[in-house]
Amino acid sequence: MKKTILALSLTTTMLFSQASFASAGTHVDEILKLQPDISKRELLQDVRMIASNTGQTEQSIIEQIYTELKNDQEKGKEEKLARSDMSTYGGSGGTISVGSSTKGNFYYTPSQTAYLDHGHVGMYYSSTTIVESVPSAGVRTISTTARKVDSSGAMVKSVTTSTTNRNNAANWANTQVGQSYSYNFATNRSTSHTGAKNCSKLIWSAYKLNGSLDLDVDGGLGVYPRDVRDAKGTVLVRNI
Amino acid sequence: MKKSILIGAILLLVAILVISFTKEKSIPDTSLLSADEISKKELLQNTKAIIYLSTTADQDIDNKGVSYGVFVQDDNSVQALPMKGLELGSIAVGKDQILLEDKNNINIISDNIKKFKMETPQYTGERTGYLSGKELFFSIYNSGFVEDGYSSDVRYGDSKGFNVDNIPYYIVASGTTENSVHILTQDFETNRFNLKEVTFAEELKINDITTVQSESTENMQVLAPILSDENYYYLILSTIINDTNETVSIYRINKETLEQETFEFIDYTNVDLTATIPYNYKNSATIHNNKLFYANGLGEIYSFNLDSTAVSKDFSLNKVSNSKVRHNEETYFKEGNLYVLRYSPDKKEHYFLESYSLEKGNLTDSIDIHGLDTIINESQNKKVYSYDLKILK
Repeated sequence: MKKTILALSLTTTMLFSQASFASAGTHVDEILKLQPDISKRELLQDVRMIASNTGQTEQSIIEQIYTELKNDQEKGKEEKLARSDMSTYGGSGGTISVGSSTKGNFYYTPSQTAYLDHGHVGMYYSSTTIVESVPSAGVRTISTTARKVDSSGAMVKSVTTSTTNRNNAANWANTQVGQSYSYNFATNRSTSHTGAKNCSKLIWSAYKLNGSLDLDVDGGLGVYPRDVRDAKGTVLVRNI
Repeated sequence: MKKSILIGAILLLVAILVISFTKEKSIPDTSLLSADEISKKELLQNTKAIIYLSTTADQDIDNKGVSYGVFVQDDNSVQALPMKGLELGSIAVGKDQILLEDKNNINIISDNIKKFKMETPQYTGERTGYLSGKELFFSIYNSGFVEDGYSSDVRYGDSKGFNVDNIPYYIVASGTTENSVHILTQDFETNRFNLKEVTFAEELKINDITTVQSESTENMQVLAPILSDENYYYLILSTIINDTNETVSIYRINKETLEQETFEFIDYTNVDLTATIPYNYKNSATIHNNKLFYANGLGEIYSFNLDSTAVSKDFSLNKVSNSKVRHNEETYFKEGNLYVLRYSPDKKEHYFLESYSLEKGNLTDSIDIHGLDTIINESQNKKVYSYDLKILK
């Protein structure tokens, strides 16, 4: 009898865990579809690390990542629908110079690459120089006269903190010039501040390290450009 | 019966919608050039202007960024040479040959094409040019920090081959003379601009000229290439006072004594400053007949008399918009004329090339470019932007 109960319970556990893995596996595939430039191995390594640091299960981490990515994708779709003149495949380029602003401020522009409308953010290292992380080029500086962005939905925002923090954040971001681009938005809150990074991670880390600010509107595991744009403590300076 | 027709019509509509959304956009083959066709078509002989278009660096995410050297032919049609992408890339015009670049390659085009594959890819251009006194092409890139500091990588050479070197500074402006390149570098620690000269003899050499005497560069921006004549260097720099006020000044530096003078040039008061930024700050000024000319983003052409130092607003482009939104407009000065690549939603071909006489301040010619709009709008799932215009004849 005991043997039968044990066999039954083992079978049930296996069935449930297989179902869970199947669900997590599907989400992994979905995540990779939304972020095709990171490998399955990289993603699962990050998931394992976060799970071991937080005590959460790997499956719940994968679900969180998936939900955040889907939410960001939906937000992008909604914003694009609301602005019919937004370019379909413009990357983060566009038709208007970002123009000058105060050191430590940042700009946001809609940015559509082949697979995702993820937006893009860059920071004012000086009033006329941008420091930003872009795919291929990595972290670079570029003049505000040369940097053009989308004519619809782009904006400049400031961060509510001391001038010292703003200056230090911008100075720190500039020290990252030359670092390569990271395609991983999904778990970038827990990746190293130094090393490869994407555009939102650059600004998020800059203020996390200089002022202990968390420029991420919804927390979670990933910080996306729109999360920085909508973060508490950021104020609209002007629409571009 | 009616029901069947209705269902059929809906299915057809759905099919059309699906096809139109999924079909990759494409440029007609007749507008695209292959390397083989360059010699057959006597390309350069029939070219009046060249436009450089490219995707931005971030669109190279799939290694499929694109650029085009667009050759505007004598009959106003276009022939486009597709290449890899290079944001802010540009064109250099040499003696009976031109240089076109992309992230991986330098192409020298005369009656044929010579391609030089470069080892290190570049993603952001700064300036490309031709030193006629040295018969040498060069291209400088905004490459970013390397282990021991900032690097602006340089490719230089001729149809026999290209060398690579680097300038260890972040460059905010540059300009070309017959024998050298002038660069303005920005030191963010001291908040100063430094003027330097780059020469190419056996190897690339950088000579310090002077530090620009200005207040902190924190609120300053560069609006034009570095210009020079026999006696002076000229810089067009602006100081941003606030969101709607800005003062543009000419900094004149004596080549021999290095004495510096500043002249107020343009005062923007209660203006959308973004709209005043030149269409292309690398091609926004020239010296002609003892006058310095500057074209701003409002389509206004100002001059500075090199003898009397008098400043005047000489003329404006025809039917010019004061919007900050750009549609790939470009400017280029050549032999007393200002050439402007412009866009009009009302014209069938949308893009047209105007020329203005600098001395008379009037429009002297305007041609509609056939096919440029298609190339700009029909690149395969990518968006290209203009980064340079050169006039050949």
